[in-house]
Amino acid sequence: MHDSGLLTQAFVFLLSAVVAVPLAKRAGLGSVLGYLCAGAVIGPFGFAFVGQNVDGVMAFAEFGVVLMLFLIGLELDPSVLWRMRVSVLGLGGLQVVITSLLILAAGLALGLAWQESLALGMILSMSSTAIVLQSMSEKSQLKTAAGQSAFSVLLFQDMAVIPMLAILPLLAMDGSLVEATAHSGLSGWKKTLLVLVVVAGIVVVGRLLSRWLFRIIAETRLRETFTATALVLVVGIALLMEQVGLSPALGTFVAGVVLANSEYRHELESEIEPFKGLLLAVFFISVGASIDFALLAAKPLLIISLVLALMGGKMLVLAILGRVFGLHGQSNAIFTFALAQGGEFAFVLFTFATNNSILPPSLVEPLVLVVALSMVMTPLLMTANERWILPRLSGNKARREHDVIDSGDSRAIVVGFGRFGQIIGRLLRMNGFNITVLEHDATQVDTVRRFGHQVFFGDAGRLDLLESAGISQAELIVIAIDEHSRALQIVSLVRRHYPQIRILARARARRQAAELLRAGADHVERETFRSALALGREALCALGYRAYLARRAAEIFRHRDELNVYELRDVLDDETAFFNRARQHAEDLEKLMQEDMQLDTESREKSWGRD
Amino acid sequence: MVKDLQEVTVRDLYEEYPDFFIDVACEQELVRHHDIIIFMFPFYWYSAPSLLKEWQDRVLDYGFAFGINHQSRKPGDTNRTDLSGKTLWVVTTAGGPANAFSEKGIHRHPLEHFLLPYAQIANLCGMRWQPPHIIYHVRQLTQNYLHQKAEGFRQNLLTLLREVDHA
Repeated sequence: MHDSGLLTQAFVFLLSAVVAVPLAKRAGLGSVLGYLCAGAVIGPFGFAFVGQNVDGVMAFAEFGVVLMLFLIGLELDPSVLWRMRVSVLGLGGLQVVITSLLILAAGLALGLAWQESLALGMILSMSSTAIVLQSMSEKSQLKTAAGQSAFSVLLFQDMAVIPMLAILPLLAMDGSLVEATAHSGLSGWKKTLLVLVVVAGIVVVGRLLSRWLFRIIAETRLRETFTATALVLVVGIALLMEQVGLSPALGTFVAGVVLANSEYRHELESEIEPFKGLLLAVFFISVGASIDFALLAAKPLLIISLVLALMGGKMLVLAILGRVFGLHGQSNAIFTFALAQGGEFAFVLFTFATNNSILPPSLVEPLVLVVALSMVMTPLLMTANERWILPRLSGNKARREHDVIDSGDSRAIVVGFGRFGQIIGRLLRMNGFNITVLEHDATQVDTVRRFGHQVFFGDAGRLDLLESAGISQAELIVIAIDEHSRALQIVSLVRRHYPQIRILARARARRQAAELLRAGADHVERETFRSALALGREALCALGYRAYLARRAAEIFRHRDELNVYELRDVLDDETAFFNRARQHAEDLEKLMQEDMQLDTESREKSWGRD
Repeated sequence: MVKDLQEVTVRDLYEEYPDFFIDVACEQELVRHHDIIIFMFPFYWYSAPSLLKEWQDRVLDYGFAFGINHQSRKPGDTNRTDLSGKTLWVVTTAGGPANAFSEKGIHRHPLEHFLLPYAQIANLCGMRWQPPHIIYHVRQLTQNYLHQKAEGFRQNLLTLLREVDHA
């Protein structure tokens, strides 16, 4: 099948993903493992549906990682990034240095030359950005302390690739600095200068030109053009970074951060997201396909012990550093288990090292396999951690990973016990109602439980958990989580299986509110609407309105606006899925403001309360 | 007790508007579609509970309930409003016995006297004033007593409905 056409290849990749991912998800193992297994099955060492050109596919698909870092950059305000500096430089830096040194020592002990050992140390100290971030975001762990720390480490590793690429040629065994770098003509300081100029260029262009450029493109009202522009931007930056010898992922990450405050941020996100998703999937599949089962069968003991040693060593370093940098218990366990694999940079660096005769192929081949296997192990380890290790760390046994819920008699279930759900829960309990709370953030559960609330850990998206929470007897379920897609999923799940129950849901904004209503929620409240209205009412008072009149004006506004949400529910259709949210928000707002201008809050001259 | 009657719309204001924000347009539309407006309330401090007063303040607006109505004004018909010709009927319950509402009782006046503002509302809005239906001594609160009184009200309402129908 080596000469199978592009379409056949694409078909095989996609089909394998379509089959494997739902299976892995159902088993609770996350999509990444599904992709990896799909790759192993279709790869040259499995059924050989795809040929030996997997490396080529992988090199292309690595671009998915670049897109992912761009998207992560978009989510990160520069100020947020600045706040992370200690953990990036401290935690990330120490992780790379200590892990490298540990592997260096192991190499020396095994009788390798110091140059080889150092090269191995640097290469293997990397973790897989793609696997870690994808897995953590699927588990909604990215925003937790563990997720932030893991991200800091990955970010530092991305930066560390630059000096590594500079140091590696110096370690060449034969001493000849052949094709050391593509731009060996430049001396060290010139290169540094070039790097600074390029990064500054990205920042300046991003700040000053992007807004102007995107406005022109957006005004064409051609969606494809906007998509193309977004891709040109990211691909262009990646190419530029490669030219000056920087990591493309790092470059696009910087570009993302620069654009994080731009009003086109959401549009960029929604344009790039599908490409990222697809490319990452292809990337994971090609990693799976590259697993050399022949080699594994030939030397199983060696390979397996190397995998264990690599992951064990990394976990040791991570666990100690995590503790030093303030991660405790569950957070530290999540952090440690997430980052214990070898990274995709290892593939690149191994090739680089072999080509520059730094490392002999006989050493590299088994290690490439070890890295790939460590990637496969990661989703398994993360799941094992959740099932068996986290429950023990929580202090109270028998009660973690979907707690056994005993209070079958509560009339209300509250899903999500963050800032929003807490208020609802406290109000209900103050009025003597027994409630059942479901919360999927383990640390949150413990805190809240310490204050005597009945809070249970678990994913409310699972019907079996809802059932054990007593949904069949409950009269009411309050969905108070902030993640819209999950809320939507829970609402439709509950509505499908329990048509009688009353569903109250928290919504982000009007469109999400309309979507939740359409999915079957009986009542929605937008999370910031009422508080904004209250502040607006204060503003009216400050401008001289009598307090009651201001209240009345705010109520009239609320009433009209809520009617509007119901109207929106009725006109929602499939455009939601295709057109992009940011543009819709802008259009909604424009329509609303026009209506506001036409209608007065109340025909004033005939109102009693006026004077 | 009267909810089952097809021609009656029961508007439980405290259930409808717990935040005291009355949807004026909606209420006015309802009023337009009915011939008899009944204010039914417990008698608090010689008047209606605050939300019903708020309803009056908001819904019985200039141009709708009194003054010139631009919609229905015809030549020579200067004082017509949306309420003209409708019937206003107050149905109220008092905790104390009937004799407490007399010159010698603690309230010093018959209950009907305190309803003077309502009679004048009817007058200003061009409505027909139906003598109030008053149930005293609900503090007694036996089921039997209440049923009996409710049945009395229901019969009075049915009579009134027939009258309005014939008119």
